[in-house]
Amino acid sequence: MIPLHSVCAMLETYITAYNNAVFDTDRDAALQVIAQALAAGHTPEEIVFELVIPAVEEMMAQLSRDLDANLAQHFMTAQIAAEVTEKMLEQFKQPPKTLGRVVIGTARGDLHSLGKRIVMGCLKTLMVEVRDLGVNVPAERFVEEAVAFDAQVIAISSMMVHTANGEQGCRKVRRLLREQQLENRFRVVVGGAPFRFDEQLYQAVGADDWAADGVSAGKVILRQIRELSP
Amino acid sequence: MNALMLTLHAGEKTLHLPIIPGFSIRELLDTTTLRVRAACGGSGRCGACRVRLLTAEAPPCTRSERERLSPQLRQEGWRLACQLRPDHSLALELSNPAPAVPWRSLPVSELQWLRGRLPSMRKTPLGVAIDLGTTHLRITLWDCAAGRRLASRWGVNPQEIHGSDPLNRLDYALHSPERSKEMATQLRQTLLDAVQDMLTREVGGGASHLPHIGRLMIVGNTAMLSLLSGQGAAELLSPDNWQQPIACQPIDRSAWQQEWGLPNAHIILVDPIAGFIGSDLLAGILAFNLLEAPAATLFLDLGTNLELALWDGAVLHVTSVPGGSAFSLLSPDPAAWPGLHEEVTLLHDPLLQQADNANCVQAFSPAALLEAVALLRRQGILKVSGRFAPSVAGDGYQLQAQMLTGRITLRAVDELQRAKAACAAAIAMLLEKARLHWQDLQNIWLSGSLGSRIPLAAAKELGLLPPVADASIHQQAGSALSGCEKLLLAEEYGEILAPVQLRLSPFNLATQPRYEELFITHLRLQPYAASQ
Repeated sequence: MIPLHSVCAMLETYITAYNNAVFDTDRDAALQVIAQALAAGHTPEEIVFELVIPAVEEMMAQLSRDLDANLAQHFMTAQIAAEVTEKMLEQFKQPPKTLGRVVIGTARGDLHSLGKRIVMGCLKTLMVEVRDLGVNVPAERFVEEAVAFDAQVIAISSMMVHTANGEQGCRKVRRLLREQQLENRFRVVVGGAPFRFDEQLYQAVGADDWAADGVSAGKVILRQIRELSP
Repeated sequence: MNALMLTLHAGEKTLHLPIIPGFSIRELLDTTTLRVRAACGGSGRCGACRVRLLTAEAPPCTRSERERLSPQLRQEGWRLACQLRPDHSLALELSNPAPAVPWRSLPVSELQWLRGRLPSMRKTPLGVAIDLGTTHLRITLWDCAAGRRLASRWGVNPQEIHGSDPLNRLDYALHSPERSKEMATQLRQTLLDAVQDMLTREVGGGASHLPHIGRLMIVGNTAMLSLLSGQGAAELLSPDNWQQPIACQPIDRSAWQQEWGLPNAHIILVDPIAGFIGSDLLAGILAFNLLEAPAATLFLDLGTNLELALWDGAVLHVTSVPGGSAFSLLSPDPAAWPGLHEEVTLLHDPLLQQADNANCVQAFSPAALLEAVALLRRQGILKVSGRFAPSVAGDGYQLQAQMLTGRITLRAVDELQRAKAACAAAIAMLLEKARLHWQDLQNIWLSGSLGSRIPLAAAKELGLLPPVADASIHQQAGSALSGCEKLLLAEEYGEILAPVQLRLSPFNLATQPRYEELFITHLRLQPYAASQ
């Protein structure tokens, strides 16, 4: 039997190799590391909870420190993590505990879904259930689906100033929540380039929080879920 | 052999400029911000363009110079800049330059030779062709009756102050009707300034010639046409309209005629194709006669906005994607970016360039950036992911392009990756739609501020272009303006447009999930085929 500290050390090696591959946007190399870890006898549960999730968390921290991290790195971090998690979940002996539920979409008038895909990838890896509402989503649908899905967070992505700041996006979602007396039930998180350029904008449009990029959005949303359902 | 150089002293300014054989001093200076005074179109009649020779060797005086300059002035070295066509390097003094204006003549490489005349315009013979770009405006003045181009100008689009991205400008304009009107009026005033500058310097008489303008033809990307006319901005921002034409016509044409002082001008805004696919692409298609090209010919107009057309022999598949800041050329004048791609050479360690170094510029032309990134890749300094190799410390790499020293940062590389991924993914989507492979491509025509001067080897190494043989790639600047000029010189411009419009098949990539997948794979700095 391999001593516990050796298992941990081995996982550390895999985490490092996996992170390096993801940081280099090398999907094949990252998946190879996972295959090696499985071949070495690690269970799918270990792979997810002790390799992929710590790796994503480390990447979140690393990318938030590295302001020059590029789009490909953000995307690969989320995409590869979600892909591996999905594969491993199929092999779990018991379904894992869900940490929360989120509905996500791009604001009305916005077709940019790349950021949303990054957020979804991270959330899935972090064991958050995600309902994807797609692009160009009317405010009414955000609220209806959040109620139907019993979500804690409504996540709205806007890549253009007029969709971030316009009347049909987050502002309307907030108004509907207020009118339907649902404000205590849901948190609204926004993200996208306009919120980076104006860090006060999220408050102006009635959001509870915002994220500077897709990867850190996972962390922000998880924080909001935990605050709402401690 | 060393290139012939002109050295010009004007007060405290000194300008060094390559001499193009056959060009007059005036024509050379018209492409710079230091222009001579002029009022006769370079015929030597007005005598306003005096310069003084500081070197002995120069071609003899022309008849116009002998008529306009006294023997004493000629003895002192005075010459007329419009008559002096140097065949040796020389130095000049310009003591009384023309007042600074934001306009310069277009480099000859951006102007195509065109045949065509409209005898029907004898009474109002002047015509104006305008290409409204996101970053630059390009304008030519024609004697349509004689079929002669009289002058050209380019300048910065004044709406730049509202953002380099057209979406930001549309958003700004939509804020209130007053803002929209203010932006439209500002742009129209700028265009009028350019026309008046050409009339004053090239025809003589300035505004008095405005009534002689019989036709004004305008092409541009949809956002710019919308901002010029004050129409269609709201429609353009709604994705529901991105697959259909956006009406950008002025509501009251006679008000424009009045505002511009053009009582006899037929003002024509060529309608955009659909959504963000503008009439500049249509004009480019006309300029290249794309319908007569072999099947599987790709036309790319590369600039701040990327517009693409793929001719499959029966259908013209057209689309448009944002290129972003990496493809925004700061100046269409090659002289403003000495060396560009040929001269980018890496400097030795230390690798970091201090950002506050006065000699360090952060911005390079897109062509120089492409060349530099390709060079960094070749040397293993930059990885396929767009990251520096572990041995490289810090956040930038110093490089030098002739007189310019600059810094390639990871952010600049990221912006380049996004722009090239957008272009490559759009090419891949068009090919898929036409059921073609990149190997089928017979020709690639490149135009636009970047396309006409893109370094082909670097573009192929980094995956911006498919690995098509250089011999099948053709670069030509100013295609949108050339196409606009063709329309200007056509008796019935609609008859030229109709056959092209019939073959158009617009493709909105924003609604295609596959485009996003291809965009991600093409972010990597590797040849096109490796990302497919």
